[in-house]
Amino acid sequence: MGVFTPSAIANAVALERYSQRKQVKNMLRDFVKRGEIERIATGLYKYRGLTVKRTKLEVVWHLVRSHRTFTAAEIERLSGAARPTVLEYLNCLKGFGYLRKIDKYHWRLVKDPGPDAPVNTAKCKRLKEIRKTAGVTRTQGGLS
Amino acid sequence: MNGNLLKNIFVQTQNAKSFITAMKEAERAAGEPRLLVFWGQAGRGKTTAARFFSAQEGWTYCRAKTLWSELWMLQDLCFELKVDPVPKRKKPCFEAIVARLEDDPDTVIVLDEADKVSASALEVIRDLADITCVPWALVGEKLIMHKMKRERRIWSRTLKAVGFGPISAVDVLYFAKEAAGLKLSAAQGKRIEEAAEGDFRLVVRDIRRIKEIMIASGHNDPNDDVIKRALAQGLRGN
Repeated sequence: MGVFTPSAIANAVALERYSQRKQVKNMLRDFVKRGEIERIATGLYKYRGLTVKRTKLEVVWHLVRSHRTFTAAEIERLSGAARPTVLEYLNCLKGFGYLRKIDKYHWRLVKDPGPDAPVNTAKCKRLKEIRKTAGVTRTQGGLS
Repeated sequence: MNGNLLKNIFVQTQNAKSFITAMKEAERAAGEPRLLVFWGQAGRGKTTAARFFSAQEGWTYCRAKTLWSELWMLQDLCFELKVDPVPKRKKPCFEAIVARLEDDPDTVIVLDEADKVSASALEVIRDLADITCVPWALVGEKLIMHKMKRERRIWSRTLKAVGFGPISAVDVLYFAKEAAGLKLSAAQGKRIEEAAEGDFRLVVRDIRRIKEIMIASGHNDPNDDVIKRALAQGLRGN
């Protein structure tokens, strides 16, 4: 799909009433907001595709693998995730046997399962629930 | 690490910006072999930039090893590209990488410490870049430039060579503003840059010291006297 107008979309799905055609316009506005389509001129749109944003967890795991030996501060600086989020995930990974803490600040990757971030979804979900119930607010980052 | 004086954030220096600009250009230049080389002396932030952008963009990051043979390199690349199981011989490894990259042509490969790669392994990378047309970023010290220039076939396929230079006065001003919330004048930035001789670690140390002196002396703005005292302490090795 290249450049198109709202009318072209409405015609393609056989919408004739004004209210229905108006709904198409509103939907297109939502698509523009989330960056999936681009408004290139008045009434003219271009499809860009939806880019899947990487989660903080994936970014942290990528950094852990590229550093091998690191501090939580380094991972925090390069991932943009909040320190508690980083520590929570590092401790999760330690529990799975992928990481070892070598002193007060330094961590080491001791088992590398590959580029896909290992995640215990049940545990992460539980931690999320605990945060929610404890009323902990986070300004950055997140495990999902 | 910085106490609470400096924010723990990745500040994009001119070098980091050059890195991402070149990589984005390479991503757009589809359909042709895309080799890029990023070089500079140790401590210029090449590896940090490579790790940061690889993690943020989801690029495949692989670190070269001193003892890398062609097979070892191909097997490491297979592992990073999620080829499972990793083949035990060169030909199936090579074919598996080509198949994986043809399946996912949006892959970008960042090879750190590439100056350690042998000439024969560099030829293998050239073949992979030729066949698959995905961008390959080779990051290393100056030796990588010599190795690539020596082989005309490799150098002619190099889309861009980006040198990581010493930190600039603009970087100092930007870092001071972003990490410490300090608004320095251009002259003050230049002075700090000259004192650090282009070393980013020294700039971080100096900015932290400026902040400490400001807090201790109750100054709200970093005046020339504060800068002078901070740099003087730095020279004494405090």
